[in-house]
Amino acid sequence: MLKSLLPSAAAALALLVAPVAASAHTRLIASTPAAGSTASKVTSVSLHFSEKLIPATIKTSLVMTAMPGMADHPPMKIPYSSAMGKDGKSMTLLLKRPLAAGSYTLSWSAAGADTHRMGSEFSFTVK
Amino acid sequence: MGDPVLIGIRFALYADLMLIAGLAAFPLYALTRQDRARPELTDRIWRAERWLCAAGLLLSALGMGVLAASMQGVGLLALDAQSFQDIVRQSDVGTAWLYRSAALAAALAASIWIRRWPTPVAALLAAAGLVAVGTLAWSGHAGATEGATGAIHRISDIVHMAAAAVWIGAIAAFLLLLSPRRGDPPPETVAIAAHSLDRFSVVGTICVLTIAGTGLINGQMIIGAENLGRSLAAPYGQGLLAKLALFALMLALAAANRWRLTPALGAAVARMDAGDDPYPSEAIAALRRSLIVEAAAAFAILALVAWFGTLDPFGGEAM
Repeated sequence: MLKSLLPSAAAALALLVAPVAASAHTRLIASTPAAGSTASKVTSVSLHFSEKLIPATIKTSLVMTAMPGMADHPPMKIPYSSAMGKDGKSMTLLLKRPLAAGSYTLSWSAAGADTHRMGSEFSFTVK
Repeated sequence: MGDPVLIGIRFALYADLMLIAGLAAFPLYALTRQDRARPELTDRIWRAERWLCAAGLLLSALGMGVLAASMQGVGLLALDAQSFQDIVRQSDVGTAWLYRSAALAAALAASIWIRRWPTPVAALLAAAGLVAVGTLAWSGHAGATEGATGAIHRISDIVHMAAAAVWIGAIAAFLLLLSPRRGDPPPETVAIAAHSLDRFSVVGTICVLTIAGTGLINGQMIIGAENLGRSLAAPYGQGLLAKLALFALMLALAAANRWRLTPALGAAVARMDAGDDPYPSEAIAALRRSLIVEAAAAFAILALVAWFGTLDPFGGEAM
């Protein structure tokens, strides 16, 4: 009895203590509009992260960096309100107005359960 | 390289909380009920407990403030009360901090009555100390592991730290018992110390086995045997290697204490009791030297852990 149980118990233990690649730092894994993409009629930007974020630590900003006829102007802040997803791993920026044609950069930073503050930025274009 | 302030506070907290738990546990397993009530033996331990609890509360609050500020991406002075509260409420680290503070406050309050009821209060201090030490599991790699694996990792981490606390507390307690601060310890104290060293050998062996076993589990969780080479190329793996070397040094010293220095002290005390020999200053001095080196190695391990516990095991992203 015990003998027949041992291998499966050992297998279960091995599974349980398998390394979990502890690098649990928060990363941005997807967004709409996606990084580097061109989109139209953008009324919201959604962000998906690899880990749960601690809401109080999240900082985001969306700036317009270029518009037709005016490449590379000083960044202009775009107003929005933000909402966390139910899973704690996603967030939606609800824009006050649909984005006008131009280039935009979104930057975010936040800490997850591992307490390390991480962040990155990406750009997309609206036509 | 992480934030040096955060690492310094982590080290101080590990040392402080482990000493609270380990020093309070010592009289419970190494001294008899009568000896526990004798002020010349335990007063120093009780006084140390009070300071350690007060320091632990302050350090822990400072640590939470610095951590919250770094999670917010601002300096400590720029942190406002509202976002501090939010982070404490929303994060596991914050919850762990609340439990730690409650445990330390309870321990500090209880320590007022330690002379009147040494045994129950020492038990309470040891338990509160272990709770406080356990909460530190949420500030390392174990805190970030999710799901069932995370629970196992945290339990293993807590048991690892509890065993370390008992060991470190015992070293500190023996140093306090044999401390030459106000002249040599009286012969009776030396005799009791020799006895408790004897009694510690069982507890010490359990601690060492527990530390080794849970250490292996934690290592497997964070690195994994098959990734060992990759981690040794990173600062994390090198820190771990240094930690293992220091652990081996502590083991060698503990073995010397147990099989050579403690019997020598016991024999010297017996000769002194029989009136054959004067006071065993040499045996005491040898033991004290060995204990001081062992304590230094223990603190070096805590400093290492405070540092490499904040690193990516494979040297991935910079922190």
